[in-house]
Amino acid sequence: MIIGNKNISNIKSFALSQIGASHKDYEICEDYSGSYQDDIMSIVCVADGHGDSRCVRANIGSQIAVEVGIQAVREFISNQPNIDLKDTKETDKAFVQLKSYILYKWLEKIKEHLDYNPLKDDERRLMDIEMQEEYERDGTIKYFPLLYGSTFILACVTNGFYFALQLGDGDVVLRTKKAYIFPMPEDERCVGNFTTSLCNADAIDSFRHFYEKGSPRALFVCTDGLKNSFAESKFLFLFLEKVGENVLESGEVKAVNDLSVFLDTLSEMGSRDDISIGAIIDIGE
Amino acid sequence: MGKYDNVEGIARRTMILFFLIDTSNSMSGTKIGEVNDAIEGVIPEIKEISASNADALIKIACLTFSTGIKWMYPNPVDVNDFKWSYVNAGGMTEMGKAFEVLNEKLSRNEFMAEVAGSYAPAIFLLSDGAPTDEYKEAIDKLKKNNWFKYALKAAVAIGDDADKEMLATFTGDDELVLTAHSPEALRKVIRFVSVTASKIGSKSSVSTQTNNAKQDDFAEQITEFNSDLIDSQNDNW
Repeated sequence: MIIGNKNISNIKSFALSQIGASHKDYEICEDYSGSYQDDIMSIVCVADGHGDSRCVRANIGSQIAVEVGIQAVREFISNQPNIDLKDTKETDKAFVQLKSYILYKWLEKIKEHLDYNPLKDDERRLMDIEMQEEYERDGTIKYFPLLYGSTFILACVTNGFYFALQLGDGDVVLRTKKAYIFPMPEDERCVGNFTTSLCNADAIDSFRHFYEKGSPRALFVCTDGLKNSFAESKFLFLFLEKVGENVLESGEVKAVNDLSVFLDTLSEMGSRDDISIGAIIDIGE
Repeated sequence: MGKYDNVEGIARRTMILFFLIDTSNSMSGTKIGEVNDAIEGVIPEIKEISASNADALIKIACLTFSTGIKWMYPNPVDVNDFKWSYVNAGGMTEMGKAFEVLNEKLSRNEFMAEVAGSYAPAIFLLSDGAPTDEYKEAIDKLKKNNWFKYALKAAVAIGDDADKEMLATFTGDDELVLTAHSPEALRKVIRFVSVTASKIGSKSSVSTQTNNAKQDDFAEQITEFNSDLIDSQNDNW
């Protein structure tokens, strides 16, 4: 089956981030999110900058990750109008190239950011002693990606197929005709509050993807602050069902507004972490 | 009425504090009595930590091992609902079996199944002797378990007959093995480790694979406490 680019007019998409209850004291949301939609593709992306003391620019790292990811996928879809999903070898190869390209661009952009924005005193004070000493001695940090450490999750629906990419913790949730599922293969290195990251030297090995032909009822990407706010998966799925219903009943603008208000409460009562959600929803004919 | 007025199942994250307690025959008498009293006595403090810490709810799991193993409760219990059941001593020291079942429970299909993200657990091993069963294969498997790798771990050697080398293999650092030479010291160690592990383990602190700020912080506090403990102890078992 050859998939081509056609119109996806029934799709609505949005993404938003809400600062976590435990992050309000220092007023920095380390999550970032973004979305893009045109006539042939819908993309949502979220990223969660690490709270590790050495990741002093994690909020910038997550922003760059989202921007780079969306741009890379736009180019990917535009440059490959016909993808033969039956040829799994070639399809997987294309996804490996896409993931490598995202990592390359993320590293390029954070290096550029660091070059134009040397570390300030208050940022240096936040780093551990060894990194402070390295910066004072060498004027740079050899392992600079750690400063910008972030996870990355992106989903895309284009006519005839959909896919998601993920590096680190957080979730991709797919609503099929029958049920809600987690379609992404698990990363066994994401345990407790430990996560793999764009900043890992072996990041490409942890960069996961899945793809499927057809069109989902809904596809969500969420940073870990969302799932960590619910006692069981079924409650997360019930919540996401409400998100979808609200888009259908109230329209996209009100749905996003309602969600933003509720995520503040959810973080307070649940994970206390930043929460980001990207949603691609098929609103039907 | 708002769309999200009745969202169900909102929960805090959880952190499980594991007690692994040697209840072999050599623990009989004062030793097991102190362990019972000290753990029962520290539960109200852990309740307070759990109540005042909005980051995570603390749950407790207790495994005793002698000739065979036994979980005090089939699943980890919210510290607010946890009631200590006095444990008795007698039998062999089947620590290898304890490592084996701990490894089984440190899984998303078992104790770490809560979707409201489980923090890496804190695991506290108490023993006065050496394993009487084959334990090496079990501990090798346990050390490959990711939940165990990222857990806060400490052990207390009760008296000089405890196999400290094996306890250090368990914790991964001999600085995290504390020796209690007296009932008073044992009580202090149990209180300090339980409270410190609960405080640090249940706080939000996202770390990458290359840095475990919680383990570093925990090790620092245990090491400092241990040096004070060594200075103040006389052998009194």
